[in-house]
Amino acid sequence: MPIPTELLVKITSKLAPDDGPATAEDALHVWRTLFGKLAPLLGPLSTELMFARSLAARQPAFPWLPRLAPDAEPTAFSRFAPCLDGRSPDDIVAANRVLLETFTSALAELIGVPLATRLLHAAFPDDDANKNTLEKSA
Amino acid sequence: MTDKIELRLLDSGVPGLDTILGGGLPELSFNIIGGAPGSGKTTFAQQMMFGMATPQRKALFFTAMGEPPAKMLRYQQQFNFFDFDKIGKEVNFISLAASVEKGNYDVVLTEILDAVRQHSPSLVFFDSFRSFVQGARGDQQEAAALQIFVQRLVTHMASWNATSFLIGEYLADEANENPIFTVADGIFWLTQHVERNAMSRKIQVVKMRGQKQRSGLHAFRIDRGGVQVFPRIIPEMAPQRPARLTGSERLSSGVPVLDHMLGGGIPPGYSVLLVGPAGCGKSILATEFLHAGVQNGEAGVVALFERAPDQIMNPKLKAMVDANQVGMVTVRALDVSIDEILYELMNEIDARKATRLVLDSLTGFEMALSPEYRDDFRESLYRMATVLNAKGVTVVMTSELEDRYDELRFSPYGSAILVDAVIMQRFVEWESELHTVISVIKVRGSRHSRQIRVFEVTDEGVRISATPAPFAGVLTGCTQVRNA
Repeated sequence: MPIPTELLVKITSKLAPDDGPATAEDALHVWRTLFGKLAPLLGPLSTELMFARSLAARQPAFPWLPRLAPDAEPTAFSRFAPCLDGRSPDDIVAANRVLLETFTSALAELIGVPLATRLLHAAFPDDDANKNTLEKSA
Repeated sequence: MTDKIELRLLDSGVPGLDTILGGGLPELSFNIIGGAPGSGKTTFAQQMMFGMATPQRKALFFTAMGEPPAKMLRYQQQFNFFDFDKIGKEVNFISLAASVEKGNYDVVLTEILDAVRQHSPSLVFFDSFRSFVQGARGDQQEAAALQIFVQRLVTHMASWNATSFLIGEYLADEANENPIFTVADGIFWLTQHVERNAMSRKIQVVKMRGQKQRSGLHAFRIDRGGVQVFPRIIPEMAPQRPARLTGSERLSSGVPVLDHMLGGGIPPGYSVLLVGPAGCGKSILATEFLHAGVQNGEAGVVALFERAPDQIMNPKLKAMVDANQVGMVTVRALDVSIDEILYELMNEIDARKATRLVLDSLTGFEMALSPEYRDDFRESLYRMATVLNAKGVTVVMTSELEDRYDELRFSPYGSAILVDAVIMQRFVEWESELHTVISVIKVRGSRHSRQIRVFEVTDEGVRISATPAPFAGVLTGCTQVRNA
């Protein structure tokens, strides 16, 4: 049982909020929101390692992403972030979509789909009351 | 009215634990859960957390390096108590791994305090607390630094208005040296014992301030449902025996002639030992006892220790079980504790309001026990008989005894003195054929027959001769036909 498609669609829609063109900042905000929810629970190291493995798995399809060893734990995200600068909105959406799919799939593999789904829902709530938590800080 | 503070007790969420605790877990207490790796500490703690956490009583579970949090979540969610709906709401997990890795108690404490400020928990868990010590660096490794950290943490915890738990891989001999044990209000000790192919788990509540906890070691089991504690049942008083009973107050054994031999039947609440070699008809006679109850509108329970439910080779018993007139408890595992079996029996007896119980057989019962419990089998039998007697349940226990003819024994466990009545069966050889005889050896507080009678199982059921068996020398093994 995979992560529900509609949940993935909801998360990836945050890459280009308000139907505008995707920016590097939008993408990084999605990842920071995700890490902010998962790191306290799983530990920063486990979270970073999962991201590093996702990056290593998807880098061949997006040669402009940094080429890292799957266990490049402390630097994966900090080396990933600058690579988004100057990329087209389509590139940003395409790369981050598959990265998110890989990352959430690894998360589900690790802690199970029900718990992963709940955590992702909690990180990206869809009620209006929590809308501001997803918006970029000024 | 009193000015004393009343300790509010929380339902721990672990079946059986509140009984040991003397009613529940004192609110705002500071507790230690100790034990070796694999003893079930984290499962025990998380079951309590999920059980006690409510929207008004939120829980924070701090993990250090004891177990990677992702791994812990992966395995703990296999238990039924793991409530996904509580995650992120009533229950929050916080990993302290990064702070602990820095090896500075101040950093760890700051992160803890920040999280507590944010979540305002009523329940706080630290797993594993030992990791804080092992993660300490430089001058922080000194015992004094740890003591200061502990003192500060405990002081803060008291101000949080929270019930708190430190989970650690402590060893029993550390309790005297580690300052943390001095300040704890409650100490839970979990152990596992492996002997041959059997593993048994035990829990001890070493200390619980303000509570009269039940002392000693108590068996517990971990399965899909989580932890289930089986409080060690201690008979509170000597059973009250009825005075000399009249026939009308007695229970029928199901065989009128045997009732007559018993002095009018079996006194209610008595435990009866039915002893004899394999194949002499003990189980069939025990079935008659249950059947007599069913015919009298009494519910019964049978505990089978040697056969699976689908292996009942006794049509009469099967019919009563299928008709739900008799409850059946089957135990074939080889690692159970006496209290676990007693718990199962009590549940079945209470659910049916049963007055009759058959244990078939003590030999199988002993085999089902974990090896370490077998040493206490006799004492356990006494406890069980006393508890069942206090409930007013009449018990028939079968016991297989190899007949050597050169000695007269009634049980391999010396249990004849623990029971109220003993019925013995024995084979005799006559004209190259085995015959069975039966006699009543003892009925406490009652006159009874001492004759040896012929016992037969026929198509019509059990038949016992109305007169003494026509044999002499039965007890010596040199049987001769008596002259009429």
